[in-house]
Amino acid sequence: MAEAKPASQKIWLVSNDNATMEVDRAVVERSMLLKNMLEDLGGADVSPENPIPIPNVNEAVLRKVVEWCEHHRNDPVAAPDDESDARKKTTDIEEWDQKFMQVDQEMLFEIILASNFLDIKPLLDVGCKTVANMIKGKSPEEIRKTFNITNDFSAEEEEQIRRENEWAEDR
Amino acid sequence: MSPDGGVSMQEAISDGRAKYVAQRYKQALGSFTDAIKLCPCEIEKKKRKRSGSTGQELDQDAQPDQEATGLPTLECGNPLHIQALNYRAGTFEKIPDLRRALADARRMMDVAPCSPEGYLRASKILRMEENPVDSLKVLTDGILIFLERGDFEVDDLRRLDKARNPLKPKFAKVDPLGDFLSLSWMSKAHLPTELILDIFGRLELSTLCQCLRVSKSWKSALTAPASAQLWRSLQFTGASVPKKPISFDSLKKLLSYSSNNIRELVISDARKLYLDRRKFNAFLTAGIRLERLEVINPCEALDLMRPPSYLKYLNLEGFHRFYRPGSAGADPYRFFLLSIVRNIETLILSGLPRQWFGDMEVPLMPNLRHLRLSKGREQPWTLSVCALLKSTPQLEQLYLDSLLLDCRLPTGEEFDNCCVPNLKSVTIVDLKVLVLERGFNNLWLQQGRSSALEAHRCVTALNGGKQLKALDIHYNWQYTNTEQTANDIFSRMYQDPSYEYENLEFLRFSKLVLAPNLAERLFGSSIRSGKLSSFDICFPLPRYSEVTGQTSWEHILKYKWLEGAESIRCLGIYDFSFKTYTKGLDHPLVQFLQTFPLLEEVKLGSANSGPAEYLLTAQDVIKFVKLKRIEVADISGESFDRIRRLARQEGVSLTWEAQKPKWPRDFKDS
Repeated sequence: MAEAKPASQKIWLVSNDNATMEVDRAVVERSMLLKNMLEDLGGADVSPENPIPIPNVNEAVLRKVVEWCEHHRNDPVAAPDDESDARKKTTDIEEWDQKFMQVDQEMLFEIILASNFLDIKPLLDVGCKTVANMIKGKSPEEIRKTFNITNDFSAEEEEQIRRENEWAEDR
Repeated sequence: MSPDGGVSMQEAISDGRAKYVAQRYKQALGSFTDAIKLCPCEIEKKKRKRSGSTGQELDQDAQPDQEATGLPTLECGNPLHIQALNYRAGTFEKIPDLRRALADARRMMDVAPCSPEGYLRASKILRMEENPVDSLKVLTDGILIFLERGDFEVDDLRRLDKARNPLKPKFAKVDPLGDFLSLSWMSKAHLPTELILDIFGRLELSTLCQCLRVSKSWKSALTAPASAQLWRSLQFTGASVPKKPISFDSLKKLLSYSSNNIRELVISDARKLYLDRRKFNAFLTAGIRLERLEVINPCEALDLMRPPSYLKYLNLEGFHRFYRPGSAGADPYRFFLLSIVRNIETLILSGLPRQWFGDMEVPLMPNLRHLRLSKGREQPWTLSVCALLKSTPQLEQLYLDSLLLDCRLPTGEEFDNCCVPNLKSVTIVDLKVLVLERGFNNLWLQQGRSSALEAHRCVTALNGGKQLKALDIHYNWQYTNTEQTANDIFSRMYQDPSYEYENLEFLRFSKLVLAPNLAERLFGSSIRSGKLSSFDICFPLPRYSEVTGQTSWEHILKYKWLEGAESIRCLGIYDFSFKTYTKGLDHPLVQFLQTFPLLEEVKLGSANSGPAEYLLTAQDVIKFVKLKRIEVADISGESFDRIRRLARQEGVSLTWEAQKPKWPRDFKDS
């Protein structure tokens, strides 16, 4: 069983709330953290009884992350430094990822933290783009509403900062 | 059982419940209140108030597994106390007196902060008050208190979280710059700085400025020194073109956010910014390390005497209008360009300094890779393209737009055909070049135009054509139909039999009619080597009074050599006219297009076919050729709607404006 091909080899992960999941090694390896770990360990010791513990990620979040990795299992691995600037500026998200990210804000931020911890750059990217899109083109009041933020400027402060940024107002 | 010998809490609660069931709510309230008063903690409070005596009594009713033993007195944690409060709150709900019900729920939280009951009750009441945001918040706060104290049952936490679930999709809010509850972390969490910079670095400048107005914490987080990089690239473009002129003070503030250290400045319309000398100087003072500068349409002469010496990317449009040589010393525009030549990699100028038109006045730019020059208004002088190329030894991409050109070199010098060995991409736009054959030759021999054509021939034949990967020629019209004596833009290429475009990947010339056998001579090798992916075919004018469409028929038949090429992804088909129309699968164009196994996109435009033929052709191409995209032109109204419907049906995406290719282009290998 341990001789199975790496791609279809099974790996077991356990979330910090003790849920064990069976995942293909190719899927797990979307996470650079786990990929490096498996390369060091060889992965042969991992079993349902001895799963890889994923601290700081609970079952609900881990399931989402695994779902994303499953769908993107065959994506080419991006070069480590692919023209970071061109990448940074975009907020385009492919359709499947957009649907995938239709979760509540708490889950969205949990996914971002988890993909950062697990080192899944493309998922982290999608997460950051999603948050950026929630802000993009909005007025201050709309942003406050989106994230339930209280306006704590005094009337004078608010007027001053409004004037400073008047040129950038949409209307 | 009861501490004071009267009714016990338990009895009072049972009594209240009976009344509640009988819907005698007022009386039920009385009983529950009695029960609450009987709790040792309440008695203790009262005693203290009265005398300050210290009669400690044991809490007889406390159960051994209660969570809150040992906590300060107010948090008595007595389950009966909580139960009584809970029932009383429930009774208040029935009356209904939600305000007092909520007050009881809050007391429950105080009495037993690590019991879920108070939060659940408060959440329920808030939902009854139609306040789902606070309803969710009270549960989230409960979980946070659990986690902070660490003294809780996991099942209780799950109950609170479960109650949050229906509210979460709509009302869960997380401040990206604040703390939030992470159940993964089992604590409060916040995004690390690098992710905050990642998120906000994707926003346009104008949105970023609006973010400063959200709250004090947003403003201080986004303008902290750690966030300076967000403000290093100031792009007043797109939605960030100022709606009102930016004031000098606002500008200074903006620059201060970058620690007065900007790296990119892009102003796509200087007039909208009211870019005067003072503002431009402020930009440059904060831009000593500026790497990219783009200023379009200045409205006055800006101070160009302090050029940023690290510039790699420069795009200026309209500067030539304000600077003339001879007027008070050196020309600042020329001086500016002369000062940045060492590091510059991409140079885009619309309107050149006057002196560049003289012989050998273009300064040497040793690192320049991308050069795009357009003629400025009121610049009727010719530019020596050979002198230009000698100054740009590392040039990879050249774009010449409507310039009057010639191939002059100082006498005695010879032009080296390989002076730009890395040139990969050539774009030529010249809407005035008009080449006709068959006796029309003299028409285009207007002043300067013949030398321009000669310069184009020179540029397109550099390195024998072998290095070119992209060739894009925009003429208004050029027409070669004689197969032997070609006098077109490629005549230099024809002269040497070894000259051919063997590495070409991208070819575009929507208005340039090439004889098919000449096209094969030039481009056949890049087809055979599997490199050419984008190709254009432009059909010749139909002969006078031709009714059969014979000219187009003959033309397409001569493209046999191209048929079935596996590298072809995109084909442009222009100015066809097949007249007697053959339907569907028998159409020569459809048959031709069907031979390309990996074709993705067809661009269709024709001024020669009537609208009816164009519509039928477009429909048949969509129906019978496997495509991902089609670009149509010269079509509107109902015909366009029909095309659009059909395209949607067939799953073909439709564009109706010629898409300008990106410049500079990206090439896979370097």
